[in-house]
Parts: sequence; C-alpha cells; structure tokens
Amino acid sequence: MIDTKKLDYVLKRVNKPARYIGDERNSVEKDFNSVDVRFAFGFPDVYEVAMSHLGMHILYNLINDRDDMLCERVFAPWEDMESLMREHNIPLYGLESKEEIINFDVLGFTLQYEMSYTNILNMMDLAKIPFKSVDRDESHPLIVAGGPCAYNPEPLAEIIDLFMIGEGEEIIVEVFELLKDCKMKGLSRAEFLLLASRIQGVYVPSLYEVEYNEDKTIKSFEPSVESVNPIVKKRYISDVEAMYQMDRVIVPFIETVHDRAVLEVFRGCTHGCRFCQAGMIYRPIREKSSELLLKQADDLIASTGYQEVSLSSLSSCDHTEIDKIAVNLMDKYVDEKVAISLPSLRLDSFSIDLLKQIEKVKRTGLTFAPEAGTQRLRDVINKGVNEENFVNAVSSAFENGWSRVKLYFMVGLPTETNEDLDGIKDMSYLVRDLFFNRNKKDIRGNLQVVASASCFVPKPFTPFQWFKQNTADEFYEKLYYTKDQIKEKKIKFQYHDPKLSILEGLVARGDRRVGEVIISAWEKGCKFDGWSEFFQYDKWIEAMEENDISFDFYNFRERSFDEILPWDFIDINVSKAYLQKEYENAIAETVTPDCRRGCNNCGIEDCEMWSVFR
Amino acid sequence: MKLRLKFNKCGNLKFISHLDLIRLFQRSFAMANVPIDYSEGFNPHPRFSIGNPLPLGINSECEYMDLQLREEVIPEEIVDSLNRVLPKNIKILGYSLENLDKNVSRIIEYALYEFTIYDYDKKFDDIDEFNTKISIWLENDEIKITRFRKKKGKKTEIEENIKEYLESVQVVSYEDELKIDAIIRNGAEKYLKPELFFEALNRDLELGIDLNSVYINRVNLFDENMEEII
Repeated sequence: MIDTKKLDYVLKRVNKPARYIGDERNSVEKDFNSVDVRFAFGFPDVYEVAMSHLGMHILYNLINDRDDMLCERVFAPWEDMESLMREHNIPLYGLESKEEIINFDVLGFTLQYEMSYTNILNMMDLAKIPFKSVDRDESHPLIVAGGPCAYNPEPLAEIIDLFMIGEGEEIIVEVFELLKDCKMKGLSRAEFLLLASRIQGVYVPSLYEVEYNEDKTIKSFEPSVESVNPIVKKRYISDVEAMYQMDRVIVPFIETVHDRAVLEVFRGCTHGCRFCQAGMIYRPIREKSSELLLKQADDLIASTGYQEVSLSSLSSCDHTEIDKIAVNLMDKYVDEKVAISLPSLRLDSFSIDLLKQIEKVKRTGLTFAPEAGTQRLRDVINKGVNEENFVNAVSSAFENGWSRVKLYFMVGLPTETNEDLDGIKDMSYLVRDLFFNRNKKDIRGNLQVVASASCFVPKPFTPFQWFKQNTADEFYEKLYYTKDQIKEKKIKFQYHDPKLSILEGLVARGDRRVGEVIISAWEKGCKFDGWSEFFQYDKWIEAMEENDISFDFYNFRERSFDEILPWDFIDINVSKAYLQKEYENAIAETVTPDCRRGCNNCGIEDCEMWSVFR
Repeated sequence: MKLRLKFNKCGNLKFISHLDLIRLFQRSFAMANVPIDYSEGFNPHPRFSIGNPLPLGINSECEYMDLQLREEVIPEEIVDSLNRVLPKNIKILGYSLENLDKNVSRIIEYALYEFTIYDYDKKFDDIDEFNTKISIWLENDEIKITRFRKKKGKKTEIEENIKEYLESVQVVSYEDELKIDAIIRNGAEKYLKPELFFEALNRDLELGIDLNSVYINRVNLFDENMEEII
C-alpha cells in the first residue's frame, strides 16, 4: 500500500482532491490478499471523464460480484496531482485499496479514444511498469486492453499483452478464470498467453508476425505459432436479456460529465451511417425488453439516489417501445423528482414529441446532428435525414419552447465540394428563419444557433476505411471558407482542431510501426492530447519524423481494396465485401435503407432483424 | 416539521467540498426516503442547510444541519436509515428538536480545532515553555493575518487583526507528535479560517511547520455561551 500520510499531504495541495480518494457509494473495497485475481481497470483520462463511462461500471460490478476476484479503478491523474506524485515518489495506486498498481495481477485499459494513448503510457510510467511487453516479466501485472479502439489494436501491439475484442462481459471472466487457473498450476505468462489466445475474441499480438512490402504496405500478417488462429472473431452478447444486469453504479462525490444513472436500452444500431464505426462494430441490434429496463431503472435509482436517469444507446428513440419506457418511468418517478433524459435524438418530430413529454424541467438547448450540409452528401454518408425531417424537428422544437439549437456537421467527407460547405450555412440560416418566421406572439426566448464542425477521421471497419483523409491545410481551408459564409450574428460557428484530427487519423488506421511514435511523443512530454491546453502538435510531428512515419502513407492515401489492412485479421461479422460495397454505394450516392426496413446482408448472423424479414 | 442533525466528516471524506456534500445528502435523502420538503418554483430544491461550511481538507467530528420535512417523522428512524446509505466516514451522530426557530448557522459562534503535526522538529524545551510563549503571543494587541477577498472577480488582500477571534490556544501534547487545541470564532458574522489562525501562530512563534503537513480536526462547535449545540 502507498504511504497514506504522504497522500494526505499531497491531496491538500491539489485541485479537486476527491478525484483521488475512492470511498464513493457503491465502490467495493475487498481484502487485497484474499482473492485470486486482482484487476485494476484503467481509464486513460481524468476522473470526471472516466466515471461517466458505462462500460467500466458494468465490468467493475460484474467482477466484484465474484468472491475470487476484485476490480479497482485507476485513472489519469491531472497535471497538478501527477507532478506532486512524482515529487513525493507516490506510485500510481488503485482508488479502493490504495495498493500500488504494480502489485495487481492485471492492469487493463479501455481504449475509447486514440488520443488518450499517451495517457496510457504516462499511467504505466507512474506505476513504474515498463512500456513494452518484451521488457516485462512475471513480476509485472499482465497488461490488457479492450473497447472500441481495440478493433485496431496494432499501434499498441508491443505494449499490450492481450486484447479483448468486442463486448467484455463474458470474455473478461473467461480470461481471468484462465489466469487464476494458470497461476494455481504455476504456468508461465507465455504459457498463459498461448492458452488465452484460444478464447474467442482474444488477440495476443506477440503470437503474430507482420511482414511489409517495399512500399510499406503489409505483405503478410500471420500467427508465428502454428496452433494460433489467424483470425480473431469479435465477441458480443447474443442474449441481452440474460446477460449480466447491473443493479448499482458508483456515485461520484464530485460532478462528472454524465452525473446521472445510465440505462442502456439496446446495443447496436440499424441506421448504417457510413462514417460511423460504432454502427458497424456493435452490430447486431439487440433490444432489452421494457420490463427488464423498468426493473433496472428501479434498481439503479434505489441504489444511487440519482435524480436523473438517461436512456442511453446509439440512437435511443429507435427502441420499439421507447414511448412506453419513457412514459412509464416518468409517471412512476414524477413525485420523487426523478427526471428522465434522452441524450441521443433522432432528427424527427417523434423524438421532439417524446422529449416534450418527458422533460418536465425544460432544457433550453437541443442538439441535432445532420452531419452534412446537403442532401447529396447526406446520401453519400447514408445519414438518413432529409430536409423535411429537419424542418419538422426544428419547427416542433421551437413550437415547444426551445430556443437554442446546436447542429453537428463534419467536414472532409468523401466527395465533398464547396456546395456541401454552403449547405452548412444554409441549414443554419434555415434554423434562424424557422425561428423568426412565426407569429410574433409565438416567438419565445432568445435564438441561438451553434453550428459545430468536426474534421472527418476515417475509421477501421467502416465503409470509409479506405478513404484518403483531408490534410490539415485542406481542413483549414474548408473551415475558414464555411466560417466566412456565415455572417448572421445569431449563428455561431465552431470547429475542431484539424491537427488533432489528423493525428487521431494516424493512430486510428495505424499499424505496429505507429507504436514507436506514441512512445516518442510521450517521451517528449505529450499527454492529455485530447485536451487543447495540453495538446502539443509539434512534439508529435517530431516524434513522427524521428520514427520515419508520415501522414502521406497513413492518412493522405487512398488505400486499394486488395491491400491488407492492419486490422483485417479481426472479424467483426460484418463482411469486408459489404463495407466495400457500401463505399461504392457512397461514391454513387446510393442510399442503403435502415436495417429495420429490410435486411441489407451485411454478414451478421443471429440478427434480431432476421426474424422480422425472413 | 424541523429536525437538526449532528454528523461527522472524517478520513478521505474531508476532501469533499461543501457543495459536493450537499449533493451527497440530497441523494442520500432520496435513498433513505427522508420526506424532505422542496422549495416552490421552477427548479425545486430540497430544504435543508448545513451550518458553517467546513474548509476542504479538514476533518470534523461535529457538523450540524437543519432539515425541513414535509411530514412528521420519528427522528431515530431517520438517523438509522440515513446511516445505512451514507458512505463510510460520514455518520449521523445525533439529533435535536429544540431551538429550531433560529437556523443552526446563526447559532454556532465558536469552534474547537485540534491541530496535529506528526514528526515535529521540537523548538521548545517542554510543553510548559511552549504554552508560556503562546500566552505571551495571545496578549499582543495585534495579531495580523492576510485575507484574500474576491470582489467582482478581482482578488484583493486585506490585512486584519484576529486578536478578538481567538478564545483559547493550548498545546495538549508534545511527545511523539505536537497537538494544539484552539477555540476560535466560527460564527456567521465573526469567522476565522483555522488555517489562517495556524499560519499566524506558525509565523509569530517561528515554529517552522509546513502548513500542508498539519492535520486539522474540528472537534466541537459552540454557541455564544460556549454551550454545545445539541
């Protein structure tokens, strides 16, 4: 255990010390020496961000419900805490027991965002754990990782011992049970890793070898050990009714990003937006029943005292019984001042009506995501929204008293022209006109439109995984062009940093060679790259140059369909042929309908939609 | 009905701010089915108040809050059910149904703090010499501190004489660790932060203590007649 007097001393000098103390309601403190597997769940960002992540809460409770294992949390300390920890020689510790991370059996990281990878290194450094698998031995914790970015594990291949690809509830238990077994039998780490590689969804990078062509593309990617499967199949829970259901969640003392109970209403998404990685990797669609959801809501409210429940999923309004769930919850909890919220809104008046019904205390702002400014480009990206939906939704929002609207767009999408950028202006102006072109007496509130543009980052396992990303200069040119179009005072135009987006693009589609860049960047002081106050673009460029890694190869190059992509060895059930067809449909501006209107044969087996259409 | 509760805030919970403590109680009332009254209006909030916010990083064995309840309750039951849902290191220690006309923050006037310094590098021969030095210090006409005031976002420094804020100061242990007890003003009108008091003592007696290493514990709170609140 770390020196708690020292910790006390340090905590008096940091901002928000409650980030580092544990002890929250529903946190679980077990005797460190009385379990077989001690797991530290690492989230490579600050407490408030980490604690808002639903997946961590699920795995935390699931593991702690077992007598033979424990799960603690460990997050990236903020800069002030980090420097004091280094000054006073306090190693990274588990929030629950205050035990040093190096004494855990397993340290796992959830990979939610590529630009958090330097924080993984920083946390390992604070824990005094060597970065590379080859530099570690049995005395160090096993380093594992999962989460959406693990679908391209290659940039971290030399750092992480074992990746879990897909949904974690089942696989994490299988891996830890095997670890427990191997520990008892006295097997070595290498022996454990080989056995673990047989579990579906497990990827052990050290068991695979990559060869490259002269043009730097991948020549071959094969297991270096004969018995190892060349393809890693993702894991998903086939029966979401029967899976582990969380009945409690840790309640932070300080305010976090999402300070409420979160109810996951379904997994997967049927829209098939072509830029969206989540929409592909989380297939198939699986809804929880309204009965189960209502019970789970009761449990969560009773065990946390939270006064807000959010119905969370990729597009919550798609749940076939969403009215019933929302209205039932509202009626039940109205006296207890529990509010219901819907974080992801479809662009239609149904969603607005529902929102109007359930939100008793009205928020003044609403967010819509048309993603692209013209119908043509929305057809390219398969965002199934037309102007009529948009006009109806926005009008309905204004009629119901909302006055602040935020619109999300992307720039740098395939086939984009200036006309599409003009569309961003046009839609923002349309919102303004819908607000003012009403009877004077109906106009309430003060209109504010925020048009926010992010820079498109092509992601693995999307139809755009082959696409050539825009350069920083191209992004800037488009963003400035759009900004100059918008002259209306009521409309504010915001945009994301293109430099951050091209680095995100580098890591997202990177291969094993990109790992060295991340390590070099950390050595140069990079951390919290997603936070603008810490982001050091120049350091990243230096790191790339030193390792002979270029944007030209990883970002600004259209890949050919027959090129071996670094993540091709992972099978997400959606076929590569389907993704390719979808890319071709995109270029042809052909819309692919929502799966709920008919099966598009993406390759998924056991899809809930099958029973509807077969 | 109204109800006054006494509670503690110990261990790591001393790092929870006053606002976070209010949110914690709000959730705990919901979980423990405490029939707390809500204010009227657009954004109703529960009607309870915690007397005299405790500075961050200070332990307390004695905190008070007043609750406005929308129905009659059995106080023992409220105490029990709250203690079942509160995190370790915060416990309801007692209750009172008396003197509830005046809000508790208007009743509290003095606080007893205990300052502990582990591994103290001794500056005086013994405890008596130390206490004599303190008595002499307390007889000064002026004991100055610098307060920071924020006005319209601007930070300004104000020099202030705290002599009349100090009731008693005494070294109670001078063996393995140094322990000093002090009763200082802690009212709504006259209030002295314990850290500022200790900073002045440390400076004037040249104790050479790193202020971050001082463990501060609020032991008790008193009214204007130096009586306990409950």
